[in-house]
Amino acid sequence: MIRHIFLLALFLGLLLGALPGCTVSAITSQARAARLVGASLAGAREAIDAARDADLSTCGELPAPAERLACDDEIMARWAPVVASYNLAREGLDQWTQGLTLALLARMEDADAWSYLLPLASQLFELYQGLQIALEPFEEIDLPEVPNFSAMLGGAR
Amino acid sequence: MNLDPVLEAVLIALAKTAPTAIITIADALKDGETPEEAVAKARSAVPPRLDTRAKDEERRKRLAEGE
Repeated sequence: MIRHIFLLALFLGLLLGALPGCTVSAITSQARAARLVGASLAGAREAIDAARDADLSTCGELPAPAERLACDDEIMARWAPVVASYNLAREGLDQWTQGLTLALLARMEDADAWSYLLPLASQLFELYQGLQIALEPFEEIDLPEVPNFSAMLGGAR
Repeated sequence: MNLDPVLEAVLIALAKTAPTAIITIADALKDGETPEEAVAKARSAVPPRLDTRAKDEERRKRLAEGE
C-alpha cells in the first residue's frame, strides 16, 4: 500500500512535467515530485509514530517492572527496522532535494539535470521500498490506497 | 491544463484518503511557479527525522519505577 503512495508521489510529480501543455523544466518537475514524496513520507512518519506509541503503551499494563521493561524491549526491537527505514527514506529525500538545489544554483540544462538528479530519485525509490518491506508486518498502519497509475505514466510519456 | 481521466481518478481517490497530498498536488499544478519556488517548496517538504530516543527513555523510566 505504501508503495502505491510512493509511486504516485514520485511519478505523478514527474508526470506533471510530461503532460501536454505543461512545459516545465526538469528541475521544476522533479521538485514537484519531491514535494509529493515529502507529503507521503510525512504521513508515514505520523502513522508510524502513533502506531508505535500505541503498541508500546500496552506494556504498562503488566504488573512487574521487569516484565514491563522486557515487553518494552521486545516492541522497540520490532519497530526498530521501521524507524530506521523511515529515517533512511527521509535522508534519501533530503539528498534528492539538496541535489535539486545544487542543480538550480549550477543552472544545469535539462539533460544534465535529468542525468544528475535521476540517480538521487532512484536511490530514494530503493530506500522507500525498504520502508515498505519493513512495514509489511504492521497492517494497522493504514496508508491510503491509490489507483494504479503506471499505465498513465506510460501513456503520457 | 486538461487532466487525463486516470489522473483525475487518482486525484479523487487521494482527496478522499490523503488530503495533505491532494493539497500538495493542487499547489504543484498552479501556473507560474518558478524553479526557485518549486525547489524551495521541495526542500521545506522534507519531514523531520523520527527520533524516539528521548520519548523512549522517559517511558522506560516510568515503566521501571512502576508508575
